[in-house]
Amino acid sequence: MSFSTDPNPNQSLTVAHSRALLAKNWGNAQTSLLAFITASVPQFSDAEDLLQEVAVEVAVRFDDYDPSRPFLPWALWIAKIKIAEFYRNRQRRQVVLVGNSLDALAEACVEIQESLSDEQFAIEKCLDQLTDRSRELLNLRYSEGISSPEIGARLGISVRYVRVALSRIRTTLTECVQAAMTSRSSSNA
Amino acid sequence: MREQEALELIDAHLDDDDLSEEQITALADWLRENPQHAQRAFHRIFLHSFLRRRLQAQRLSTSSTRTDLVPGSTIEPSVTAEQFSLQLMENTAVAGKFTRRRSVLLLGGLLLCLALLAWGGFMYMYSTNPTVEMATAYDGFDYPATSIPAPLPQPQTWPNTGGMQGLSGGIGWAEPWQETGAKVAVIVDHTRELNWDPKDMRKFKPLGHTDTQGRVLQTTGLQMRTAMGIRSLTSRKLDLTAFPESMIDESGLGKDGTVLWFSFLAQSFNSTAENNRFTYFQIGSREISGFRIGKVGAAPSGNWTATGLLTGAQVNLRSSSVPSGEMAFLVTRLEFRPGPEDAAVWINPSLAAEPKLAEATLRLSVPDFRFDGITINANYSTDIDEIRIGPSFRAVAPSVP
Repeated sequence: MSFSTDPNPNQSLTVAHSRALLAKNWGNAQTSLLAFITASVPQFSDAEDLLQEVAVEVAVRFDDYDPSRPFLPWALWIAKIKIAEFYRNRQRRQVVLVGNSLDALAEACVEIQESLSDEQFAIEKCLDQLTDRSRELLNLRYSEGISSPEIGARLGISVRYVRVALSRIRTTLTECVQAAMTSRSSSNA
Repeated sequence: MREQEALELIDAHLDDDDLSEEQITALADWLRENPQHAQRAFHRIFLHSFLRRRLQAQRLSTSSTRTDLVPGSTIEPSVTAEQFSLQLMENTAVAGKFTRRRSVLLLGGLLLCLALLAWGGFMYMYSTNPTVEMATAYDGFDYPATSIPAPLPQPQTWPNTGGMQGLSGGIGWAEPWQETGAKVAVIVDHTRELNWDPKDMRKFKPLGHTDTQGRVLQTTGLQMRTAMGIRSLTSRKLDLTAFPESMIDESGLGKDGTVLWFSFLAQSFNSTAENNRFTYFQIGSREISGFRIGKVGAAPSGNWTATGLLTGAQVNLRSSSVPSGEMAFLVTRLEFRPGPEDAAVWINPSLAAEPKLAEATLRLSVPDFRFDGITINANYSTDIDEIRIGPSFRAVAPSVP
């Protein structure tokens, strides 16, 4: 990834303009960045901590950012640096998405960023179509943040079923969202 | 690697389950293989991330907390966009099971305001769309297609090894499919079939169901094809822990006082009934008691048929007017009672709502039985797809949104 060679490409901006630009860009990119970080750091608390670190780093380095180029790829580059630092500094059990895999996800993140806003609305509508049982599982997993074995123990079902059921709920939501997005594209055509 | 498999690995990773080295390598290869794979993966990861933030801000309501939906009405959002955003930011700062957030001081209130803007503009519209329920056990046969001998398969060349043996997709199963017959059932990709027997009724289109109002049954993957000639015997055990405890007793699934629904798509090579040609689903056991549905050899018409089983005999056999060479979506409701069970079968029902018992295609009393798996017994090639077992009609007859 190449960036402007001008040591201060933002020098022509006033401080107020620079801050406004940073705030605007960060607001647009934050959701995508968190999802990208989550890919490598699935523990939510770690991912959110890392997002805060990326926010700080982006702000510190913002004078290096060339506003004539898209913001998200630059922010993703910083996120990758922070993820690498995270793995060096923490005792991680396993590194799953790294290197070329992470690069592929970063490209995907940039490609689909524009549609993520619509996707959030579609997910919200699709959530309302879930059964109580599915909603209960999602509440346990995401609202209470408990693990699959703990969910299984609480509901009296096998861990395997919890994992499969959660995967199935996500697939159902994905299909619902795809249908909603396709329908939206057709009606806008 | 199939997409569903890759997404399941991503789910496992995001749920903080360990993956094997082979799985990590396979997933990495799949991601790099095609930009579309990476995009699908990112959509999945984004869903996970969104669910976390969304449900941290507000739990999903369940039936005990939801207000009644009036058709055509909208409900005032319980949280406005601004409140939602504030809650999101507040929740990231709450201590609890997670480590305490480090506060971001840089740009102070301006960054906070922009984070609110990123989430701003939400509008919550609560629709009256039918709820989407899940089958407890399901297999859509999302497996690679089997190679079948060319040019046209014959009974003497039909595969007798492999087939469905060991395939373990779907949900709600305790183990993979097992093949115990002289021949095996196979997986077919209808879109790639080039050599059709002129008499084969299945050549016109893959299995599916569209009701009279245009609603389409949800389908995935390919479809199963039972053997030509004697015979394939393909079985799979259910994961009883996936079912509510209230449905299970010491003998298996089907405790008295419970209702279970069961559905599948099917179409036979043709409707011929001569020479005891059959392909049927069986639950329970032939030797003790059970239930059988499909193309049944004892039905002289060759039409779709259901029958009870008792100590080796078929009892209360009921045949429909729908030939087995015609594609059918068969939905069965089993009411388990003290004494004989009550079975109702609908063929090609509307997907709009649970059908009325009075409108059932077939209705029969079935000897008291329990079961813990299904068996598909066949000596006449029949295609089968979308096996679902669940607690409601909606769970076993989901329509495409």
